[in-house]
This record gives sequence, C-alpha cells and structure tokens, in this order.
Amino acid sequence: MKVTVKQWHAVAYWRWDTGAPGDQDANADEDAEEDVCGICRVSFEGCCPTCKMPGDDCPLIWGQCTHVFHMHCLLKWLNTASSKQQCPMDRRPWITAERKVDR
Amino acid sequence: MKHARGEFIALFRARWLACLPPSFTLGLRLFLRTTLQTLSAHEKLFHILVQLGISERFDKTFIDVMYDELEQKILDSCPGIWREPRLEMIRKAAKELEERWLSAVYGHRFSRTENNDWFKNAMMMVTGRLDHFISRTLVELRTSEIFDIVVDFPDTLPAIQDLRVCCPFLFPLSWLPGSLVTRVNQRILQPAADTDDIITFYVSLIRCLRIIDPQGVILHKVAPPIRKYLRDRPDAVRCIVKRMTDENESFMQEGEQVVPIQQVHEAYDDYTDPHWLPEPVDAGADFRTTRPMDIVSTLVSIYDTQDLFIKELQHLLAGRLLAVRNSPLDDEIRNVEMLKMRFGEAPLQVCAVMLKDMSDSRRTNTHLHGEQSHPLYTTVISRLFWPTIQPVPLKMPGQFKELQDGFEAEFHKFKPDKSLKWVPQLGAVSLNLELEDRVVEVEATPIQAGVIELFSERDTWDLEQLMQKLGGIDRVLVQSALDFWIGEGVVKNEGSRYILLEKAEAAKGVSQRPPPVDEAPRVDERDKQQAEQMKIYWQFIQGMLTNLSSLPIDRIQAMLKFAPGYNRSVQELAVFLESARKEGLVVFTNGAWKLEKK
Ligand SMILES: [Zn+2]
Ligand SMILES: [Zn+2]
Ligand SMILES: [Zn+2]
Repeated sequence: MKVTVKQWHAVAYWRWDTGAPGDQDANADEDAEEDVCGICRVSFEGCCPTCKMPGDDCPLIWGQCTHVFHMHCLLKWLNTASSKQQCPMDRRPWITAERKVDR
Repeated sequence: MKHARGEFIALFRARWLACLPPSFTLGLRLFLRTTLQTLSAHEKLFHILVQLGISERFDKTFIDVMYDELEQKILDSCPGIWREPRLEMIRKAAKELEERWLSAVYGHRFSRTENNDWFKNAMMMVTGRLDHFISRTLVELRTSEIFDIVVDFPDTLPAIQDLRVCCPFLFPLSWLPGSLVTRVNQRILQPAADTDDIITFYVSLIRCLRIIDPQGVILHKVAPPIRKYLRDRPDAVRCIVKRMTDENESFMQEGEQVVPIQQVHEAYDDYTDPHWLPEPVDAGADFRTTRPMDIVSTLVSIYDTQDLFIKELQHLLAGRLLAVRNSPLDDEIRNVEMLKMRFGEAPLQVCAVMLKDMSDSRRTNTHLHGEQSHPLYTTVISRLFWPTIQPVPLKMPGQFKELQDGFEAEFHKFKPDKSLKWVPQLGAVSLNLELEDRVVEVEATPIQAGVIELFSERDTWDLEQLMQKLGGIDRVLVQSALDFWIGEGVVKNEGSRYILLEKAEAAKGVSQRPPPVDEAPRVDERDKQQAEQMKIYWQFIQGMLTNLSSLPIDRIQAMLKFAPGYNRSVQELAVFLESARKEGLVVFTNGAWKLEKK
C-alpha cells in the first residue's frame, strides 16, 4: 500500500526559543509554565501590559546576564531613574545580548 | 286631532309594551337574527316594529343583533388563522352590516323625517361601539391563542399586527401576561424542552410583544421566569453564542443598532427594580430610543457577567478556526468585529489574537512553501490565547514525521527566536491509499492517518505495537482509529491482530462496518477541557464529603450551586465523579458518594 498525503492541516503553537537548556525536551513543558517576565509577571508567550498582540509584536530581550524580559517592559524599566541602567533582577549593568534580538 | 293621535299612540305603546315579559328581549334578539339573511323581504315587518314602538323601546337589542352577528363572524373566520390579516376584513363586514341593518330597521322612520343629523350621530356612536366590540373579541381570541402565535412567529406577523391595532383600545392588557405565563410554564419551561427552542421562543416573544406593546409592560411581566430558567440551563450560553455568530441567524433585525452591553445593563437594572413602573402611555415615541435593547443584548443580560460569553466565544471560534482549511477568514473577522462593538475591545482581545494567529499562519505557510501547494499546512497558534489544549503524546510516524521536521526546520530559519510545539491530535488529513486492487480516498484525523501510515510499513500489527509506535497514546484512541479503517474496508481484525487488506474483502468489510465513531477532535478537546475545569470544583466536593461523610449526587449538585461560577449539569457532574472514582478518589455505595479512605 502506498499512502499519499494530499493535504494535512496541522496545528502547532509557538514558543520563544529562550535558549535555556532542555528547551527542546518534551518534558520542558512544566518549566515553561513558570517562564514569566520578571518585570510584569506575565508569561513570555503572553504580552506585556502595553501590548495587545503577543509574539513578534511584543518581542523578548536577552541580557548578557542571561535574564530575559519582554522588550517593552525592560525599556520602560530602563527609562526610569531608579533603574540606573541595571538589570532589575541582579542589578548588574544591563547589556543586551547580541544573539537573539535581531535576526 | 294630530295631538290626540299622538297621545293615543303614546298611551298604547306604554301600556302594551309594559305587558311584554322579560324573556321577550331574548326572543326578539334571536328572531331578528333570522331576518339578517333576507333583509329586503322584511320591509313591512320593520315598519310594523317601528309602529309598535318596539324598534325604539328595544333599540339595545337591535344593536345586540349586530354584536351577535359579528362575534359569529369572528369565530367563523379567525381562530387558528394567523398568517393573514383579519381585522380589516371584519371591520369592513361590520360597516357593511351596520349600514344594511340600520337602514332596514330604522330606515323607514328616518328617511321620512328631516332629523338626519341625529341619525348620523347615532350611527357614529354605534360604529364606535361595534369597533370596540370587534377589538375586544379579537383580542380575547388571540390572547387565548397567543402562545402558538408566538411559536409560529414570524409567519404569524399578520395576527400580531392585528393585535397591535386592537390593543390601544384595551390598554393595559392585564389578562395577556397571565395566560401567557401559564402556557409558557406548561410548554416551554420544561426539562424536556430543547434549550434552543426556549431561546427561539424567547426571541419571538420579544419581537411579538415589541409590536403589540412597544412599552414593554407585558414583556416585563412575562420574561423573568424565562430568563431565570435559561440562566439555570447549563447549555444556554453555548446556544446563544452559537446563534449569535451564525450568519444564517437573524438575531439582528433590519434597522437595529448594535448596542454595547454595558448600556444594556443600565437599562436592565431599571427593569429589575421592584419599584420599576412603566412610563405613562403618553411618554412619547422616543421612550424606546432612550433605552435601546436589541435581541443579543437582551439575551446577554440574562447573565450577571459577560465572562461566560467570552469564554464560550473563544471556544467556538477556536473550533471554527481550526476547522477552516484555506477558505478566507472574512466571516470570522466580521463576526469578531461585530462582537467587539457589543462586548468592548478588551474582552475580545483573545479572539483578536486568535484571528491574527490565523492570518500570520497563512503568511508563514506561503513564505515557507511559496505559492505552489504543499501537503502540509500548519496553523501556528499563540498558546495562551486559545482554549486549553491537553496535549496527546501522539508521535506521527513515517512521512508525517518528515513533513513535521521539514516544516519545523524551515520555521526556525524564518523565525529564529521561536520554536514550534506540535499539537498532533488536532487538524485533519486528506489521504490517498493505493492498494493492489483499488484506490481509497479519505478524510482522516491525524491519529487515523498515523495508524494507516504504519500499515504501509508492515501489514500486520497488534494494538500494543501500534500504541507504542505512536508515542504511547491511549488504547481507546488507537482502537477507534482501527475501527475507522475497518469501516473503510482497509483493515481487518483477526484475533488480536489487525491485517491490511491489500485486496478488498467486500461483503465482509461492509457487514462488519462498526457504527461510526464520533471522533471529531473538537468534541474530544471540549470534554477534556470540561473535565479539567471540573477539577476546580474538586476541592468543594472534597470539602463537603469530608464534612458530611457521604452524599447522593443530587445533594452534591445542589451544594455545588454555591460554588462560584458552577454551571454544570448533573450529567456532567456524574461523568466527573465517575472519573474520580476510577482514579480512586471516591467510592460509590448505597446510592451515595464518599471519599476513598486513604
Ligand atoms: Zn513583561
Ligand atoms: Zn509589549
Ligand atoms: Zn540580569
């Protein structure tokens, strides 16, 4: 018997490739639940408080310190005086990692 | 001389008329009716009746004859006839009767006197009374029929319009609500009644009463039990939402405006106020326009919150979007835009994201595969904005895996910061199976497709092997996929083995065809999700069983009504309890549920 697929309509959901170890594992799902932005506490796959559309419209930003935030959340934070241009999680100077931001 | 004659006649009449027994009135009335058909033959008779003073003394009876005649006319020509207007016809008949009758009865007298103005006035008064009589009789008749008229609306619009014309004479229609409420209770608010039918009835009722009684006084009296009943029906939200988004459904009438729901609640608060009183009759034509209320808003306002609707909308939309293949999304987009006008932008944001996922997916697929057709089309969704989807650990075999891997790699190149996670059980596959003696074309679910793909590698399998090859999915799922292929005559079952039929075994295949298994993944998802949502209530159930040791299901259901947002039916609760029993959490003994002792 020969099986020919004429048309397959499949469904998948997207996730940010945060580059975290084990990201590709099937059992990384449970950890993914905890993947929230350290500033707004909303999931990375959701959107920051000012955005309505998730994904490309509300991208993530990676720091060299390995912390990840919604880009809009971090920019807002860096714009405040109290930020002193530091990562809000570890208070190290914020330096955007080259790797992921522009593709 | 003339004077004496007059006096004599007066005396004669007074004495003679006084001798008539009371039953004479009825006799006269019945007798007069018999003359109606052949009026012209009775010219002399009426002349005598005038002479004897009977026409004057019993003038009321002469009018009653017309009432009798008209009542008969209405009873002959109106009951059960709702699809054509009747009132005009009866009014015309009345006018005609009146002229014929009055000129026959009094014609003698008045044609010879100059006092024609008096006659005209009298005529006008009689006309007014007849008209009122017709209205009252017709309204009484239609009131007794109102339930069926509403059920058959809008076909019965002519009857309703007749009523509207009659009603201003008889405002307020105090008896209409009573009879309607009784019938509604008997016929509509019954466990056996279909929720969809109840909604249809309610919508028709609103439309009918809006015509008869634009002020909404009657509706205000009749609607509350229906609204309460719908509120307690677990599937009502689903039905309303489904119809709200169905393009064949006409919840919106021409000229109606979409009303944002918030405004509706303000108006609705007024109606629920126990001190609420209808505006006076002379409130003016703009009374309605200050409190607009379209059908959808009215239905939504049955519930205290819109959350249920939004959740249901999301669900419905998800199902529909994942079912569309390559057809344009225009309908769904228009729907969501319309709903935004009602519910506001924010609650529908979820739906907007779903739609954006759909159009983004289209762009992605086109980007990856170009314009030429490719066997795999993937809808890439934003997980958090779609109904919870329980993953099934299905691993697609063979060429399906290759297609997935290819797409994943391409996708990662296109969107380097994203990766894909398959929801393998969702979607649909069109397949062509080339067998030795035939070609089979089918639409299959991914699980069915996965199973048959394995048969192209090897023609004999047993259930365990298939389960394992497909990533360890549930036995039931594999079994039902096998049943599907047995039904298609592609696979046969021998003992514990399943064998591919390279050559058709026609007769056997057909006779063994199992009943079709409803395997639509949407339904599957829905049940799973309901079971999942049910888990929220587990702590309530656990709590009450801890305190009260054991309870029959009805008590559990009754107590759960106090849990926030609980709207499940007893059946749904039973399904949940049964699954909890299988998990060893509860036991069922002597008709009651209790916690399994740890
Ligand atoms: Zn954030
Ligand atoms: Zn944002
Ligand atoms: Zn940091």
